Amino acid sequence: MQNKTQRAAAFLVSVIILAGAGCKNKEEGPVVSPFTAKATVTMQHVFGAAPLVLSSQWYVNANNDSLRFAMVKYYISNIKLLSGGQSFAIPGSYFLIDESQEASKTFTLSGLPSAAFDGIEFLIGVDSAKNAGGAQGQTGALDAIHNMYWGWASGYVFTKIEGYFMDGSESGFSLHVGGFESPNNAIRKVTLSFGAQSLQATNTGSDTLVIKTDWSEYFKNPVTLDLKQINSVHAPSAVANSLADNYADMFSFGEIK
Amino acid sequence: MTRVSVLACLVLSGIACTQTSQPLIELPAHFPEPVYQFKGNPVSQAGIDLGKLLFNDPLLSADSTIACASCHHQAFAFADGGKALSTGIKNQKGRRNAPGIFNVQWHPYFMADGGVNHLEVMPLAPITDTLEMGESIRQMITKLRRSTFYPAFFKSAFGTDSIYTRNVMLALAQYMGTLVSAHAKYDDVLQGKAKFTKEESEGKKLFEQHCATCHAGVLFSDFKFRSNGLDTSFEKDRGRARVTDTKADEGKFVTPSLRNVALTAPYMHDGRFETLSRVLQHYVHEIKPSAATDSILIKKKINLSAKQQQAVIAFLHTLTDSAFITNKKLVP
Repeated sequence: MQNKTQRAAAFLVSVIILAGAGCKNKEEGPVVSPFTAKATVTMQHVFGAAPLVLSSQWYVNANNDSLRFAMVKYYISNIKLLSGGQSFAIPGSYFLIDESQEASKTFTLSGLPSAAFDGIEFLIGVDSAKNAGGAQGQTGALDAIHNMYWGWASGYVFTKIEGYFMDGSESGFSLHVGGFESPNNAIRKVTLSFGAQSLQATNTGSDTLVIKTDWSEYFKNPVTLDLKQINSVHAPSAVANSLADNYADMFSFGEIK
Repeated sequence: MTRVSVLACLVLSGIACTQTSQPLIELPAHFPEPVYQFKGNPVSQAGIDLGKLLFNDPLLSADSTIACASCHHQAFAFADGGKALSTGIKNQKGRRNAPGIFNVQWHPYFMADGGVNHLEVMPLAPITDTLEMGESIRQMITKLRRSTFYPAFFKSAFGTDSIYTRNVMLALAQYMGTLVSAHAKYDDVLQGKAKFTKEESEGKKLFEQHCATCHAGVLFSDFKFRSNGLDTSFEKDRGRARVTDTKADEGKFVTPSLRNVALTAPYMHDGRFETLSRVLQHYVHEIKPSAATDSILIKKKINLSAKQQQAVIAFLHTLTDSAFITNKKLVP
């Protein structure tokens, strides 16, 4: 295995050589990466120690509320792969993860230089430019067809969880977090290190990065969420912001396989 | 037109380019630079036609009963003719008074609370609002794809008959962009083609003294969020705070343009005032002071006699654009 310095040097050389080849056209049109290597990412959803299962499975959150989930959807975007302190931004990296769609939990990062990466950085949610950019960027994962866009307060819903909690009897919760403008900017950045492991981008994308997402974190730290008090959030707001603070640390490095 | 000039025209401007010298979307010489300039959304007759078709099609609503045009009628400068609140699907009443639609490319944002930040996404608000058209975007797209005639319209507008949210919105933006109102008597006077009556002149002077700080410029709006002293508590409608969740924005609404104002009664975000004289009465006698109320209305009282109020109203009538509300090209 290469050490970090060697890795960084190899990465830099490959980026510098190839960057001149395809990065042109500053005006319009999608940026086409000159690189052809790939890597795979899998999001693994858990609640504490248990796997996350929609509908039937009950969990207990930090406030001691029993709850079950009917829907878990979120965006991750603006992905950068890190290598020895350098970073490689993946153009057009917008992914909508939907727990009810198994296929959405695994996706390919393409257009990568053939390098070994030691970390990843991404946004939970969608960057301001796409939130403010009208309909032209609304394609693929960002199409309003996915019901992750607020028409009345233009912008994407970054995370959407819905389900039921026990409040004497079963009661519904529906928490939709978004907002990209100060003071209610709910975009959060996540940086994960792969520790001693590395993700090798190859032409087959055979290396898979597993990112663990622990939904119990949504309900605690810094604010312990009491679903009896707050169970309906549908706009950019101070409350939505504090939920974003809560879940900003729910992602962790799982493994490379 | 020679090939070279057509090319130059295409390169230089998506807005003012047609086979003839008549631009598809008017850019009045006395207006400022538009906020939205159709960048990345080159205007074509096919795009405008498609947008017009969509604007008038109740298919865009959940039960196919309400089109955009159901609440936005040309005769009222695309407002809803006398209704305080419009009726959406299942006979439901909307939250706020439907505004007129014109000169939209000069607006920095839309809706009374400014919640919509871009012309291209404006239609997503009424389409998905459960009280208005109540439709999911997925279902709307499914219905459009199923239609026998829409694919051909999309093909001629965008070169592909695949129907996606993006192209639906871009076509609607093109059509709404054609709704330019710049030929009222006021404009004719500005351009030396007409003269105000004595009363209108007097009204203009008073308007400039008392109203034009907010209803500024040729668009008659500063597009700022202000509370005009209608209420002192805002539980019923938080105004701008609905979008920003900020206390300081409670009860604030964007200054509306006053072009075509004589056609767009009733007035205020909830349509509470039926006539212009009732509106003037509010500004002269009924401003309710509160922490929200714009300081300009408190510091500088609007003191107008009954006769002066009539003069202001006479001036406001010069903002009515008859050519705009009778232009057959703007409707199917």
